[in-house]
Amino acid sequence: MSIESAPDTPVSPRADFVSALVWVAFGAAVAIGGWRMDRLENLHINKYEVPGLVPGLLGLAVMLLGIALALRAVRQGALRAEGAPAPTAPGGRTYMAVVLGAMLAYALVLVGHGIPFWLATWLFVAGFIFWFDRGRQQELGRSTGRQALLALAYGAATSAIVTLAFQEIFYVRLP
Amino acid sequence: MFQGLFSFGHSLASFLTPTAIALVLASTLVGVVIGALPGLTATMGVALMTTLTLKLPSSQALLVLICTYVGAIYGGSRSAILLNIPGTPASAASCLDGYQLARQGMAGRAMGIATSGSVMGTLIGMFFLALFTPVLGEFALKFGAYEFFWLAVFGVVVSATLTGGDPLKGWITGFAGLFIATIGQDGIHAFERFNFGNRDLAGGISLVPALVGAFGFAEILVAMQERRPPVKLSALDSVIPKIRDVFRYWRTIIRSGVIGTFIGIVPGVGEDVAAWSSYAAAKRASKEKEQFGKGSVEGLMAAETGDNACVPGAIIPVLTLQVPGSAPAAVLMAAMLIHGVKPGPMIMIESPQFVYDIVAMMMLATIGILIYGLTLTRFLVQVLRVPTTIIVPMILVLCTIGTYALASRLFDIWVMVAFGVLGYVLRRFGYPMAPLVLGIVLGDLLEKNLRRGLVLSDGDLSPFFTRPISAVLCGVLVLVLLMRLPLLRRLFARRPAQGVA
Repeated sequence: MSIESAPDTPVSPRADFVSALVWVAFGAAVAIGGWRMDRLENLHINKYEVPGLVPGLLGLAVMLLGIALALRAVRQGALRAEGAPAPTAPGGRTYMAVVLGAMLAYALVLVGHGIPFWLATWLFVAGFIFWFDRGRQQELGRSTGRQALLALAYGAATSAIVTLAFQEIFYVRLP
Repeated sequence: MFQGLFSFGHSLASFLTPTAIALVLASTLVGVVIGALPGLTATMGVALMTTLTLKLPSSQALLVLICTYVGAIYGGSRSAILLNIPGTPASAASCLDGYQLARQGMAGRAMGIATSGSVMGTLIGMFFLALFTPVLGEFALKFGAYEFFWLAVFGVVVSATLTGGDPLKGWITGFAGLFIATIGQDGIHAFERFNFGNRDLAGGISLVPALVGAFGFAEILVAMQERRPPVKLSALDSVIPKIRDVFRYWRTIIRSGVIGTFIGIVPGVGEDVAAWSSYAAAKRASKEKEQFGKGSVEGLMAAETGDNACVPGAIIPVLTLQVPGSAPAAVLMAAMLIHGVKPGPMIMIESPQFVYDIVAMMMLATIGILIYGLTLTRFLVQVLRVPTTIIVPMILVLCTIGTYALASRLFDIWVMVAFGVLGYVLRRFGYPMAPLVLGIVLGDLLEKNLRRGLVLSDGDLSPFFTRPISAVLCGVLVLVLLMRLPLLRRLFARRPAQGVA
């Protein structure tokens, strides 16, 4: 299904094993949750209509498939030294943590918690572009002041267009 | 036959208003741009546009979404040809010969071939959409609870099996998706499940925020991770499609169109599989096999025809069975439900004209991509130069506010973020997202029909296996699962698999 770009790096058996254990735990939790769910006996409902039936069966299916994945990963050497994941590029994780942190800060903190939407958007877009586009801007020989100015301009334009479009055209009460 | 043509003409005429034409031009352009930009997929485009079209009348909103969908699948070919990076995964097969043609100084010709292939593909798919939807709709009336249950399982399992990658991981995400759909009040007794006392969660996980998260938030994280170098593009020759290319490869076009449409009909198997299958079939049948991968016009034509024919194909099961044929079609289906259109077996009885409305929308989208294919090349080249670091924050703003606009509640933003992070982590561990999404879409269908079927048969499982359509669906499902067993695969493998590239 055309929804995502293909996985970029092969996944190690160790990583498969770890994720399989997470699925086994998740599936077991769901199955137990389904089993322990209220069966609404006081309402005298049909026993095949109990609310926990389908989630319980699905949890069981996830757990069994997780076990199959774990066994396959072990067979592929997940518990041996060669089954460990390849080391990641230095700084790669920090970079992605900063990217994710910035995205979470905007979506979960800046929006809807007192700061006007237009200001939150302006600050986020300008800050994001200034920080993450710095390398390219430096290659183009632009001074820090000019980079900041450009980032602020991008932020202002995005904020103005999005705010006006949603507020005036789509009649959305912005957070 | 003539009744169908008359209905199609009626639908087409109803869209020939200045507003509708402006929407077609604008949304196809948005689709082409989204498709052309690596990292932004057709699903993300359709999901984002769903949030932006909430206030439009349903016919105009769906027109926008279909034009975006068709435009995005077509737009993917631009970056495939010019940068050797598929703009959408559907265009991966186009990279092979499209980029080679560009390196030989024929980038313009390659884009012309992509345009003619895409237009022909959409037209062939449209023809089958108009032809098959009424027939399949009538057939779907025979479906009962047992058949719909199997259809839901079939969609998830087949999607995980056929979309490449690891089927076992696909099945896990598929079943997890089916479970996610059960969170919140159950459809029969309104009993709250797995909401941990949260009132918002009691309403269930809304599909659109989950999709925007999985394909918007997660994809932009991946785009940031890839850190693409600046784009360098060479000069272009003429982009006007050559009629002789169409006539010379008419067999390839028809074959790819048919393959693309039928792959679209299979639940959950989308444009990328259609493109690769069409490409492989064209290579097998070609007299110029050695040219494939080295700049073959026929190869590019096959891939582009196949992936675009898949778009109308993927809408056929949406309309008749309420089962999406691809991920963008899943979003489209969610949008239909939001706008009060209820696709499914009753569609040909309750609103037969709607099917022809969709065909007319496809026709307008096809005209849109033809116009932009001929005129917008240099603009798109400029768009491709825009760095990811500038696009990403803007897309995130749209994902966030678009999700919020659905119901004006912050909870939807949290769902979007949660699915974004989950989608990113799952992708890092090699789990496909397509079955997860299909699971969320089909979860309700599965649950209601399993419980209904069990109540009807008083717990007897035999109708699930003995009713004719159920038996066929179950049999195919078992066959698909058995074929994944290493022992059987070795038994049936006549020779080592050959890569299509």
